[in-house]
Amino acid sequence: SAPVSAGGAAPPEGAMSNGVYVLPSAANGDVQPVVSSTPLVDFLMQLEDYTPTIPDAVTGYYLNRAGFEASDPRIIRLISLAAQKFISDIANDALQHCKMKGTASGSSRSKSKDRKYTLTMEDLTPALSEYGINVKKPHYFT
Amino acid sequence: MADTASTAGAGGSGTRSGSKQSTNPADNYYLARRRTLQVVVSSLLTEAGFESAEKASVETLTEMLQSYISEIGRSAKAYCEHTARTQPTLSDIVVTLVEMGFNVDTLPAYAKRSQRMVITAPPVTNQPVTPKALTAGQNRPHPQHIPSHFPEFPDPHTYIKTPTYREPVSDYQVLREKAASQRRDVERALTRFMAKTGETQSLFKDDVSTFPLIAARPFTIPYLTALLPSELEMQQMEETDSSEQEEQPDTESLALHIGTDESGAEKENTSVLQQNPSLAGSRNGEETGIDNPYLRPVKKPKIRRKNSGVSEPQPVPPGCRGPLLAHYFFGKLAFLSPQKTALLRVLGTLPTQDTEVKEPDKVPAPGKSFQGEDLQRNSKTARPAVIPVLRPQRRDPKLQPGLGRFRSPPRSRLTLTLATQVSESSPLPSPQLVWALSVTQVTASEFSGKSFGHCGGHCRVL
Repeated sequence: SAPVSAGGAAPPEGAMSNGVYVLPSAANGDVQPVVSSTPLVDFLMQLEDYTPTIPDAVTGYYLNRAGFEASDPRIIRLISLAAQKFISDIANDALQHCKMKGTASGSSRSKSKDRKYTLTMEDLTPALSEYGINVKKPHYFT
Repeated sequence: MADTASTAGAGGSGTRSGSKQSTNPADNYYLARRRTLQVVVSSLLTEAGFESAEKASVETLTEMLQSYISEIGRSAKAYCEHTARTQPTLSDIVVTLVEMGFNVDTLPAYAKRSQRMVITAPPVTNQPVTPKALTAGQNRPHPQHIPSHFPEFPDPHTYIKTPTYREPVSDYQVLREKAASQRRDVERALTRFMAKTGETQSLFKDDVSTFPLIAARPFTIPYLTALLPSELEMQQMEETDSSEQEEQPDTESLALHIGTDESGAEKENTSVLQQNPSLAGSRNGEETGIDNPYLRPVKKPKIRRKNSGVSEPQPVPPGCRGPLLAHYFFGKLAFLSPQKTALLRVLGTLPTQDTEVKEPDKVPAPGKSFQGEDLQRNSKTARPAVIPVLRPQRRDPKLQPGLGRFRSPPRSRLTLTLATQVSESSPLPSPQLVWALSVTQVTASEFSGKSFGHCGGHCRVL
């Protein structure tokens, strides 16, 4: 289960309890302050069994280049997992774009074009722009 | 693993890695990890559902992945150090991920999902960096606080510094010895230089050049230096005497005044600057009030002069030889009358007119040159009174030519009687005032090979 736990009872407004300061404007109940401990603490324990796709050595190498000296190998796995998810999200968004283009005009439903999807820059660019990454590749090299 | 997927994926990367085997191991070491990332990207794309991808897209995603990992590391380290720690913790990473726009809550779900998917990318074996052939010396190992993944230290010759000077010796004894030897060497060198460039005397009759000694310059009138005032004193005396000129009603000065009226000089108690018009004009009320008797201007004895121009020097009692001697020495400089001039000439030319010259030595006596220099020095300071003293001397054929320079004869035993000189050169009539100055010297031959210059003089009244 998700280790991220939402707070049970909303603490009174303006009070300082459990280390969480409740904003006075959150009295309407729409926004409930989340009293949570540090996330991923429990998840970190589970990471010992899980091996992410990126090897630990590679991730550790790039982290060392940045000055990050990991004391716990699970930290490295967590980071590699986060990077993995980052790329996966982008890939999924690009896939969505590709599917949308494919089925924008009503093509034959029977033959699902999505059997073969090819990631192209035309799909990747709008997907990246949603993340704030602007990629501009020249169409040709002079 | 990724075989089913993109051509530009794992296969492409595999072929690419195969085609790039020709690179040197150094490049391979750096590129191996990059290739691993490409493989990972390819697998992720495959997992997403893509069958193929453009090479540019894969490269883009690979670059993004590498940048993402590096940025997480840098930012986590920064957060860690922001709280005065050195070891990043989970909280640092969480904050970093939140800052980068990553939804941390979805991470465990993703982990669960991908667990059932591809676990790929075998770990890359590290290829060590090949050592360079230009290493000089052994590098310093890492200190304990430096992590091992940091690069090595550079070659030791890059930061080793050697001072090019030796620390000076500061031992007291050594320094004292050094100073003493230095002083002795300097003294010896200086004296030798003076001996080589100036006049020398030798202790040995036959060997002249081995041990040269700086020649002593005996003065024919050795007490002259004590009697004559220095330059500064003379100048002061001028100024004081000019002020005291009219205020001293001494009989001596009066007599001098009487005596020198004909010469046109109005001051005889001053040694110099009698014809200086400026000083004559400025002697109004200048009184310095010298209390020291030695600094007072010298009062010369009055020489009563008749209108005929013949002056009779007063008889000198034996008791007051000293001051009168001094007076005559001063009078030598202030002389204007021909009688006094002649007397001075006699006094001034004592060594040059040698009546009894024994064996000449090669060492000339600069004693008279001293006097001449003294006179010349006075003449340099615009004291025209001195010049008439020199003039009659120059006319003497026995004298060597040269203004103020009297080349003395070689050292010898000189005995001069003033009587003879006076009778020859000047109409000084009084035989009672006869000064004889004898200068005795010892030649080299008299002391069995050892000679030294000795100058002594005494005056006696004949």
